Amino acid sequence: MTLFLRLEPSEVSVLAQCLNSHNLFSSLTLAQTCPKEFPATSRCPLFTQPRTPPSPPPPLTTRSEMGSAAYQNPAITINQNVGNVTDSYKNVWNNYEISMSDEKRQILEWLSPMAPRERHQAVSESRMGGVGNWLLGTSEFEKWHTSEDQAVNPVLFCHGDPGVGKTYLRCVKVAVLECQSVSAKLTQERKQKLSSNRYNVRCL
Amino acid sequence: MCDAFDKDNVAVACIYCDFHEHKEQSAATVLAALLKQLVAGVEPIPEEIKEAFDRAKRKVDGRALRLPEIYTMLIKSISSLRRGFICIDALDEFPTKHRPELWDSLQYIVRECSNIRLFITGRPHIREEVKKYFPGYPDLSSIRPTKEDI
Repeated sequence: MTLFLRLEPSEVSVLAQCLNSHNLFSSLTLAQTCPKEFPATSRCPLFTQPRTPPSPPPPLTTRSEMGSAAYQNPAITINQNVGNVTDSYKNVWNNYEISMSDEKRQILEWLSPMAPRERHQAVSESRMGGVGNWLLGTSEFEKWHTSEDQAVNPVLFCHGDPGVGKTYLRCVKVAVLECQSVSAKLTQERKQKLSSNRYNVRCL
Repeated sequence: MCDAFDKDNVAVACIYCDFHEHKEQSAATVLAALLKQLVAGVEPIPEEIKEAFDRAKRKVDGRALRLPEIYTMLIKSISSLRRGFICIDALDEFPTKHRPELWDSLQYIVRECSNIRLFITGRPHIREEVKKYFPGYPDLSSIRPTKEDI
């Protein structure tokens, strides 16, 4: 059975958590897009009451009914009868795919309950323009993050009093590293996305 | 804290230290969080970690990994990467009593893994500690953010 839901990007992870906690579906696949004519009434009730099962059930439709219509909006496809329990989703923040099994998710949660991603994202997005650029321009930083020479000191320390934005600086740093390692894999289209809107904050 | 991993076998793991999280933060929790981030992008998850998880699951209390186990797994995970980056923010906000243990751990990781890079931020007073554990680190003291940066 395939179910299409129309979701805001921010709702996708919430839904994934709801489905996991209720064991409602054996497989969850998220697609970024859905048909233009997709009915607006199909919002999943899970979002308004995350801890209660959906009632009434959201409208269902089969994948084949959707045909090859032009896809435009975020959508979710749920396949109920799949042997392997998998959960793959589009990670909007990182802008690249992450696939993870339920077991792996449990193992990672067991390793550490800390949830870093949200905090980093919040800090990155609240960062004021230009903060931290000075550090990125230093040769010390350049050497530290690009050179694989073992003679380069592997440790970089940056100190400052509270308020000089050291938290932000580190975020810029991480953003640069991410760009360095991920950008080669991105398609031209994704690169364009990176250079616009909020993404440019992370990839100075 | 954030993480990134890609097919180029480069991983970034970050920790934010926070005064308000003292209950949670110890060398073991920090290293476990780093380990979590570093293996998040690895498929399949390293067998040792899976086995440890299965063992823990069989026990009623399901205890977390201990520091020596985390060391072993962390070193192994890092060695499977081409490059690994560890960022620790506001290290001065990490509980003082656990700090020597954390410094020792970081020192150990840097010594064992030549492909690791470590970035640390903190208030000025923690500089002496950095010097003690990592003598000869690049001195960024002459570089200060401009007013526009603040």
